[in-house]
Amino acid sequence: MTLSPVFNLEIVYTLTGAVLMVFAGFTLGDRGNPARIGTALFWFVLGVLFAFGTYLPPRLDGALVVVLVAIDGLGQVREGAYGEAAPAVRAAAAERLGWRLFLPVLLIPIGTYAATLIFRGPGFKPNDVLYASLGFSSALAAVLALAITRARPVWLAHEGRRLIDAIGAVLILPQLLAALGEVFKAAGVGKVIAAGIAAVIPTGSLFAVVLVCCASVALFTFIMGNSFAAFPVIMAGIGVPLLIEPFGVNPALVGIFTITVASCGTLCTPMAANFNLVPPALLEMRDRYGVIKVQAPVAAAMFAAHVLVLWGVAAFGLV
Amino acid sequence: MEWLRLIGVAVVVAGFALRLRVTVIVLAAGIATWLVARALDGGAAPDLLSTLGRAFVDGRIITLVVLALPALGLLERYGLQDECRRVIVKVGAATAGRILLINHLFRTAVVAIGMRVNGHVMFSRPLIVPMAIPAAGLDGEGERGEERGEDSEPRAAAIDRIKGAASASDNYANFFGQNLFFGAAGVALVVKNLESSGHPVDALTVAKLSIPMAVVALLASWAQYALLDRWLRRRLGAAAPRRGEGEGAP
Repeated sequence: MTLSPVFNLEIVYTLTGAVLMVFAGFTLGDRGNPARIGTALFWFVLGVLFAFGTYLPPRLDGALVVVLVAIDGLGQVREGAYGEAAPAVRAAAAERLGWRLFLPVLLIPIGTYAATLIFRGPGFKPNDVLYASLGFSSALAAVLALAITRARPVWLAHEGRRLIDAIGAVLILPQLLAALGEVFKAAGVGKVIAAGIAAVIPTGSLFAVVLVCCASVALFTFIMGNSFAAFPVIMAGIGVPLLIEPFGVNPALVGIFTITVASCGTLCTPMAANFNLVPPALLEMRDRYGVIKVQAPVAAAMFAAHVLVLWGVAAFGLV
Repeated sequence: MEWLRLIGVAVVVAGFALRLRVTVIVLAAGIATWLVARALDGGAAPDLLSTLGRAFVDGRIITLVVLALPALGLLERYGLQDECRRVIVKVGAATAGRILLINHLFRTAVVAIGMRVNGHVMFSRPLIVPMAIPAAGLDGEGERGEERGEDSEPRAAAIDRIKGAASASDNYANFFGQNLFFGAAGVALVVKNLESSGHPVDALTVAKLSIPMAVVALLASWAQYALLDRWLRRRLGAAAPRRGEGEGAP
């Protein structure tokens, strides 16, 4: 008997959908939320997409995505009242429970990692095991948190929707941007950008080629929000024909540097929402671009370092 | 007229400039791009709603963090952040910047063994931010600062800066550290791409060549964390003793 069917992402998606629907149910009864119907509908529709998205016709999924955007566009995703504990009560609970509060937090990464070590080999898809056990560990962490705090289970729902409401509609942005990327790809946006870069590329100077290769992959990534879309285009247009072949630069070096210099674009773009826009919402920052502002100078330094090192190594034949 | 296909990029730029709702901007960019593609390609253009629906559903894996929220919320209700503060106040040498440096090293180690998880949800919110803020002498959301009658604006700005830097440390470690794992998706992409262009390389070589930039990223970030500490000391200066105030510290 094999356990591989347990690590099925559909199970985790269904579980997530159920959690979202529970949030929606409690939101509907939340008189403290000025837009309780819109907010409840938003989490419910997202729950439907999670639980049943695989089985519904793609056009209906697409229509539901448009409904989500419409609810948010009308400003109907708002925060409510969650019966939070007073600071003094919280501090007293911390005093009483102490280090045990960390156990469920640590259970999530440790449980996930342990599962990837135990369940490997033929029959197991590594990525499915990773993400499915991440989901199971999160559910287990909720049970452990209940056991430690001896709270009533209803508080899992209220505290969970407190956090999800704090994130708000930004939560769906990474998926929405992934969808935009697909529309871009289908419409041939990448080809137009590649043709534009090919028209201005210098070919004689090694330094100029290195600079243009790094700059164009970072810019492309900045626009698409994802380095994996930019990488093949830049490698086919510049990396292979203008850097590896004429100058004999180490292919593995060009490849990995092109991938990581693209991250400099990721660090600066709102299009990479899961890295740059969701965290400010999750951490309840005042400035929704606060993460990008912190990252921009480091991204600039890293960009310069990539150009100089790649050029230096290539010019002096170090690798 | 091929350049018209870039209309989505223009819509995104205009939308952000006008500070419209980001979800609306993204959908509008998709619709505009699709309209252009349909005008240029005719019937060959893919159906907008199915492309949108399929890609959104395929991307659910990015949003699995929802499942961790009930546990984290409940623990916050029972004082997780207060406990983080107590722990960090006991560690004499803790500063916000040093905590972010440790987070950077820890997150690099996590991605280097191939664990691609959402560090913002799993570490930043429950642990790193609640430790970094009191380490800078800022208590939680500034409740005690207000009690002391201090100007809350510099405190709020400092808290925002720490939160931004905490997210940044997670991203730096993730982006520049993940290819240290030879099974990483980025490494596989490089290997596959070079193989198809007739320059075969092996994954281990590619992973090894990601070491230099992981080190440079650590140094550049370290400088930023140190500058953050300096900025916090100057900004908050004598107004807020770094830690231990009101707890009988000399």
